[in-house]
Amino acid sequence: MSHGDVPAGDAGRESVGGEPAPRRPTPEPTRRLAENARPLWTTQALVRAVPVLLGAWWVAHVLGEIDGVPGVTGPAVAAIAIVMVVADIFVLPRLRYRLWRYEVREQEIDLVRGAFTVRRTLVPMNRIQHVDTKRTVLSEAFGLASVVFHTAAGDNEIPALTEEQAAEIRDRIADLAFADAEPV
Amino acid sequence: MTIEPRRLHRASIVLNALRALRELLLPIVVALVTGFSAGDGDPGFALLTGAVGVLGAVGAGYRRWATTTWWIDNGAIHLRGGLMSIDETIVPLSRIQAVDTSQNPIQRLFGIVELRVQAAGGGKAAEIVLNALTAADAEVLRAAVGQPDPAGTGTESMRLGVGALLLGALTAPQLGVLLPLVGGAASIADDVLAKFVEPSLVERLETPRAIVLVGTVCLLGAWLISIAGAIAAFFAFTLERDGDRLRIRRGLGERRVSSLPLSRIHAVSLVEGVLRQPLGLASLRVEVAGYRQEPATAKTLFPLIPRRDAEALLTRFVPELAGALGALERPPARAWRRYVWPPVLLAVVAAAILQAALDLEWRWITGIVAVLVFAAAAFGALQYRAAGWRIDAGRVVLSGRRLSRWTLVADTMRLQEHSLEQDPWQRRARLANFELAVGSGRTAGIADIDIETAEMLFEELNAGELKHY
Repeated sequence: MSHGDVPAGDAGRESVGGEPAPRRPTPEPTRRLAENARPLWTTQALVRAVPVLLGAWWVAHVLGEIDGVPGVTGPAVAAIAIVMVVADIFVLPRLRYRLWRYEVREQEIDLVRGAFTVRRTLVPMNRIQHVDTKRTVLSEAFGLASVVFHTAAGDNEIPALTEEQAAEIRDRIADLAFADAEPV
Repeated sequence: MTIEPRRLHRASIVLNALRALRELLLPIVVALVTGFSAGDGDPGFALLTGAVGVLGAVGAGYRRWATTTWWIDNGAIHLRGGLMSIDETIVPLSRIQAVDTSQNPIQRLFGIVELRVQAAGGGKAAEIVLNALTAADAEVLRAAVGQPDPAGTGTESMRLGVGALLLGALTAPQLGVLLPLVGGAASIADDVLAKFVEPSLVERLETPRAIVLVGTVCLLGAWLISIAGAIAAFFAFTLERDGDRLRIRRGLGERRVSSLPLSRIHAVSLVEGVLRQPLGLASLRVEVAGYRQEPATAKTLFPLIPRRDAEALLTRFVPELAGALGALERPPARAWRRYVWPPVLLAVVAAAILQAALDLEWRWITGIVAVLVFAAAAFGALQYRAAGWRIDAGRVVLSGRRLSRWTLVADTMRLQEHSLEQDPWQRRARLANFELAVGSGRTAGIADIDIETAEMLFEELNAGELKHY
């Protein structure tokens, strides 16, 4: 495979500074998701919040009716649910957007994601069996789509890209992954 | 190679009908039980339900046989057929992982085999099952897909002895799976018996002695079922290697033969069950992309083996993954408390909930807290002791413990993905988790190793990187 066809903007194989290592480390991924990711995730969190709050209210109500359950249990359950919902709506989308990075290189896909716990995943390009874009009613409203790629072990996703970006990345992964396809 | 469309053997009708009946069994039983109680024990209703069920099953079996054809062309095997809608499954020959055959007593009676083409599927179960092939057809198909008939004698061969079969069955780890089933069956039986016996069995369970007795009976029942299941599955288990192909024969009523190219094996895992580890025993399992949806018994490389013989077995049968299984690198000493704290906290929370619910005397709750915390700490410490990793040329070994101790040996060039993970506390302590996934969908990891070690593993296992050097 030639190195000439690596599109501009791809953070090649050069080490991007940092401490010296016995071999050149895989560079950190640099590309970010679309800016609309945050409002999309906030909206998704708002949608999720409705059943969660209703459920918590019902549980708190039922616990309040049962004799022998300490009086604070119901309000405590409700409070925990409210804190979770507030974090889901106001805090997590911001943190997740700030941390999400991806890079599609010739040999691998590199993902960094998380809110508190940060996880970096490397998927070798020649393990990818198929790739597609995914849109939901909500994501379409924000003009966003995700790219889902499947290996023999399972799925990975780059969420919340603009629709053009998603199509471009999907095609690029398909080109790279199936260029010299070998059986799994 | 091209094979024109062919039908299955007519015995397929019988097999289809029996399978349909087995699937209908639960609804029929439910219908009978409810009908029985509703219809004042009218046997006519029961007979009618049974007759309709059998007729429907035979009809469906015939229809399925009549619509089913298979053929090979354009480098793919095709299976067409169905009950209502006619579907066509196409598996490219290059995606085929293994070809398994099996024979249950009915298939033996008709002199036919069941053949399964195991394929690597992207999520969905992409496999082809032909339940009634004549020996000749099976041979033709095997030759066409490049997985010839398992006829020759293996260059390496190993057989599970009767003693090991029994010991393996006695220590089979499926108890937890079966217990709820037996409990459920007992509760259904109680419902049915309640029509005839007054008061019902559950209502008689007033004394603690009766409860303990019923519990013991259930446990014993589950254990016996588990023993019988393990003996039936692993009876006369034989592992053979024929050059670059493994062949596994096993089964009492239903004889199964799996034929598996070595090149399809992504990893091998060694499992030391809770009852087996003290005896120095383990079982070995293959991780193969095509076996993703198969039950654990189908993935067994060898059901029971002394732990110290596992390396020798790998050398003989899976040489690509052969090498040391021990002498692993361990997480640093400062990671110990990160292994022990979470289960201990969980135990304290569990004790608190117990106390809130039952409002026990203080000496009782102190005792319970002590026992729970001690057990949780011991569990965490055992998990810490089981965690390890090593990396040699072309293979990576990870080990750990859930309840059983596991050791996974994976081919580094076939990893599907690998990850590095850090939470804020780990960042402060300069620790990280490392995890990898192999083609069977199995993930394995090691928690709380030095961040430098984790980064080294992350780089070392980057297959793309390896190609550049």
